[in-house]
Amino acid sequence: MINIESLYFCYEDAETTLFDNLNLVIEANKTLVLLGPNGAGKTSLLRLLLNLSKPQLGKIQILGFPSGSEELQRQIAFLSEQPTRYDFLNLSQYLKFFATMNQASVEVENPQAKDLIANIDPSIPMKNYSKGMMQRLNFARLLLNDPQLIFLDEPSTGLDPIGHLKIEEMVKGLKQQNKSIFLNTHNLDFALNVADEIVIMNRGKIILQVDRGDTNRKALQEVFLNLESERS
Amino acid sequence: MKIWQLAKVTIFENIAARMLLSNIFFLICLLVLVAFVQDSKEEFNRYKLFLDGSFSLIMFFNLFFAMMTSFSLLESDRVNHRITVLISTYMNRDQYIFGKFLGGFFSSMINLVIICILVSITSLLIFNQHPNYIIYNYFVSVLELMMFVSLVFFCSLAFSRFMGVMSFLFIFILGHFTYYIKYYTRVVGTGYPELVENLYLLLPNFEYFGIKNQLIAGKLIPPSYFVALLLFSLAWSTLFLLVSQIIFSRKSFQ
Repeated sequence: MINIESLYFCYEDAETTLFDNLNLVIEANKTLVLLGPNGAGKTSLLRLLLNLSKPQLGKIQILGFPSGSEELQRQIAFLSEQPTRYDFLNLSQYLKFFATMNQASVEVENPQAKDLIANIDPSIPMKNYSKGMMQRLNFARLLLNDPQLIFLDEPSTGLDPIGHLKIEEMVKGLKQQNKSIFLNTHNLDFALNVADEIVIMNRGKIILQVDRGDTNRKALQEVFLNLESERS
Repeated sequence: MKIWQLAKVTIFENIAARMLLSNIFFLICLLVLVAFVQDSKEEFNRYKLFLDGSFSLIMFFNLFFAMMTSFSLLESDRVNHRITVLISTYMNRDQYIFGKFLGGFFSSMINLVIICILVSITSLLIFNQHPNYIIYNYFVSVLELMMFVSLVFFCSLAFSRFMGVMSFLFIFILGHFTYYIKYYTRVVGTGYPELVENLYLLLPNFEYFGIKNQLIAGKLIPPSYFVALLLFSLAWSTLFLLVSQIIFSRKSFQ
């Protein structure tokens, strides 16, 4: 599903290299969770995969296409850390806009997407939405073009425990639809609850890549504690 | 299709930001101008005075509309977390830039059309006349607006907000003085008179758009001038847009 070969990347204004010969292979139809402390390079990797940053060297292939290609864009979806807002649009206009951009059907056909927006009044402009409504609407947007692969960047950041649980349910709903998911988080419990495969990253390096069934909370906690002691 | 969708949503956003309210301000200015003109003692010149004032107002508001609608085009997408989502999964960067430019241009155009209609209605209702050359001036205003919007867009993309505004104003002011370069060699003298004399042709010379005096004085402007102006405006707008696309295609989102 995702194949990263010999990736080399550093930010223009940074003195040190973030990724130096990074290699990673991720299989299809799995939920991969990328875990790591702040500054580990999780968001940078996600941005490289989404062609928002460009590597100095290396090759990225996603679903068999190079990152940023038009064919690939039709088969992926991305939920950013903060909800994508168009405050002056209402629910119908918002979904219609993104469906048209994807050349997808304007009608919401996906059952999970229908459920997510069922309780939102379609005539209210988005500026009046709560954070939870905004998240649900953004999750519904992800399903408009029936993507094969979904990128989620810290989807539960800034939410209260109930909001967090709802996000977890939504991710599980995506899994039930056999979507491949690339989830970026620093929340260990969230990762353990939804992951099929876990990758731990620190300072631009892959520390651990393991199937969810082959690990547990205690083992992962130990890895994190080791990372913390290395840092200090 | 994608480009037009993005342009359309950008126009809606500008309208939702109460863009059209600025037309009320224009109407107030126009009514003040009419009152001033009606009060003028030069009865035979009243209409020309009205047109002179209206055309100047249109030029000023053109500048205002371009800045108002186009400086925040990318900033609003960044603040609302749209830009990364749009260019990663919905469209490529070139489509995005072109869509945003069209959105900014048509938003400003809507304003321009409204104020032109207001001028025409005032001309007909109060002065009972509407010579054809008013339309010529409207056409030139559209070309000027296109260049303004592309320049504003380029400055907002290439520089920080403050530097973007300053750069735009700098180029705008410079663009109104480039014509004097033509006469520089005659006044000061230089080793390459032909080169310097023709240098002004290469600069974004906004003075080409200032044809109101000739129109009001009844001087005939050949159609070839309007064609040349159209090409000039298109060439500069394309250049600003191309440079914007190059800058944006290299931009890294951190």
